[in-house]
This record gives sequence, structure tokens and C-alpha cells, in this order.
Amino acid sequence: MKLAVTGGKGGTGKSMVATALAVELAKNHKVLLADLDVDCPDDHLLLSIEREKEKDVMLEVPKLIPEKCIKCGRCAEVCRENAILFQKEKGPSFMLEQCTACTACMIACPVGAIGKKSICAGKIYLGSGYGVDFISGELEPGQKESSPVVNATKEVIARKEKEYDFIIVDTAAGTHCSVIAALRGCSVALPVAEPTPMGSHDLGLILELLSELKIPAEGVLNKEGIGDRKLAEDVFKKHHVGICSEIPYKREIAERYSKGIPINDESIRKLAEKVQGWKK
Amino acid sequence: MKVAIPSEKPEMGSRMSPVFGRCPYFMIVEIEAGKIVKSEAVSNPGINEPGGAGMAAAQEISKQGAIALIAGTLGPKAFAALNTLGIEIYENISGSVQENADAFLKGKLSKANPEKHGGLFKG
Repeated sequence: MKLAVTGGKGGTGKSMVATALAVELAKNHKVLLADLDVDCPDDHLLLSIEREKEKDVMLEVPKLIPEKCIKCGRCAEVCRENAILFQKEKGPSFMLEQCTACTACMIACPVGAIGKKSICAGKIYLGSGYGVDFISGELEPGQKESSPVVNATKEVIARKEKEYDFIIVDTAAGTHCSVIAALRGCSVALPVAEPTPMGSHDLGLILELLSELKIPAEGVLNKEGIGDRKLAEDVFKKHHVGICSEIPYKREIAERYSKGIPINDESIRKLAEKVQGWKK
Repeated sequence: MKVAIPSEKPEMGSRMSPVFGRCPYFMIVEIEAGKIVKSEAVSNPGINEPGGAGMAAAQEISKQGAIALIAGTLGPKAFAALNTLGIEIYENISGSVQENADAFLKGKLSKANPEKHGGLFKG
């Protein structure tokens, strides 16, 4: 069963919940924790896991073969990222900082004058700790697009999927394309909310996204005890999403989190029980 | 020769737009023998682009035949694109498109300082 831990606002506790849940489930099951927050993956820090690089994620960007170019401008026409500047006499100029490696220009060129050049967009790491197998994708700083790294990591996960009872996907914050890429293929999502005005606003956005993607959601109310829980409750209610778990705002939780030790709270045990129930 | 001037409205009397990549219009001003012989308003395709607006804008003015641009601030990608396309960049003065065109004709505008165009919010 593949479930996503997501949340919209950053800092609500996605990684905390994902890592803690993974460790709890791993006591009786085979679990893979997938950190797909490729811009800033840090689950390995929360579980003090030493990662090992599995592979580089390579993207193919265009490389012009000048002697073949007939200066027709077709490549610039098809480029959706405005990464190709074209002048009638000079031909195309490739602005690779804008390139997302879609290869449309290579396909569109009528004379095959655009070859490929490989660049490293990121890395995939493996590891294990506290009984949990671990995989993370990490974007190369300065690279424009996170989704290719998310998707490359998902491909590695797909090859191992059958070995595991549970795959827990930790997504990035926000609702943009790399979050969508991480969510796709998950059978249920756990949006983690905090009882604050900013948290509740962003919660609404992630719940809308999950509804669009037709992924069933079960809410987790984190940091219960501070703020105003009604803010988050109202948003869940508005989107017809129930709250399946409440995690208290406790100093002990924050301390363990900051030391890279899994959370050991009753609320996590209860959440794991519920999740095990869904699998049946 | 043609010079492009970012504009808020599609007319010479309009206030000049302080931005480049997402200005609504460009006034393409044609100059012959030291006089303005023609001016034409062109919509900026960059205004709706999610990213690389400056590139789209630069490509458009190049397509229109402009070999010079009068500009406020440019992002670094726009600046690089304009250099690649061989378009000369001049610093604007405050005021309307017409006032800038006149100042350009009189040789009162200076060439852009590359250090100023590292990005819209560089101090």
C-alpha cells in the first residue's frame, strides 16, 4: 500500500509524521520510506540514516550540430520554455538555464541538427535505519525542474515495490508539479495540518489538489493544543475530509525530532494501527 | 533603425513601463535620418509566460526588427537574451514613451550598465 504524507504549508510536520509512522509500521511490516521532497530532503536526518548514493539523475538537453542547421527556426517555435532564441541569419541560441529537457526541439528539427548533451539534475540515495528501508531523491542546486528527479526516484521505487507492505511517500510542501508527481500513484494521502491561520489556508489548497487528483485523504492534526483547532477542523469539514489522527504539541516530540530520534508517542501508535486497518 | 520602448499603453504618449519581461506593450519606433518616421504598438507575449518572460519579450522585439531597446530594469536572463540577440540596451529617463524616443534621438540616453541588470530587486 502506498500512502503519501503531505500538507501544503511547510513546517506542519510532514517529515516528522512520515518518519515516525514508517518506524512504527516497520515493527511488524516491511516498510519503504520515500523522501520525495527533492528540493530539501531531510528524512534521513530525522532518522540518523547514512545515505549512500545509488545513481545520478541525468537529463538530456539540446546540443546544436551547426553544420546541419538550416536556420528554419522550428526548434524555437516548439520550445515552451522560451529557452531557444532565434535569429534569421544566425540561427538558434540555446539558453539552457530555461531548458526542462522535454526534447521537443530535438524531435521537431526537420534535419536532425539538434543532438543531446547529458547534465546531472540530481541524485538518488538509499539507506536504512530503525527497521525502515529508505530512498530519497535530491535535486542538484540550481537545476530548474524538480519533477524529473521525483519521477526518476519513483522509477527506482517501482522496481522494488512488490517487496514492501507499505511505501510511505514524504512530499514537498506546496501544491506544485513536484508535489503532484510525488502524490500520483498513492492510494491514500495524509495531509498534515497545524491549527494556525496560515496552516489552515494552505491546508485548503492541498485538500483541493487531492480532490482534483482523486486521491482519498485522511487528515492528521499536528501540534494539537496550540492555536485554534477549529481553524483546521473547519477546513477539513469544508472539504469532506475526516481527521484520522491528532498529534499533541509536546516538548518531548520536538526534542526527539531535533536529535534525529524517531518520535515515540501514543498518537503515532494509534495512527499506525489505523493505517494497518486500511490495508486489509 | 528600429528601437523598442516598453510601454503601459499602446501609444506614444503613454507612460513608459519600468519593466521589460512583463510590460504590456512595446512601442517599436522607426527612425530614419534622425527623425521618427513610424511607430507601432506590439503586444508583449512575455506578459502571460509562467517563466522566461524576458526571453519571450527579447525574442519578440528581435522579430520586430529592433536593434536597440530603451529599458528600466531587466532581469539577468533578459539581459543575457538581449546580448545574444545583439540588441543594444539604453537607460531610460522618467516620462512618456515619446519623451524617451526624443531623448534617444538627441543622443541623451546612455548605454545600460551591466551591473544594474542582475535582477529586478538588486539593490
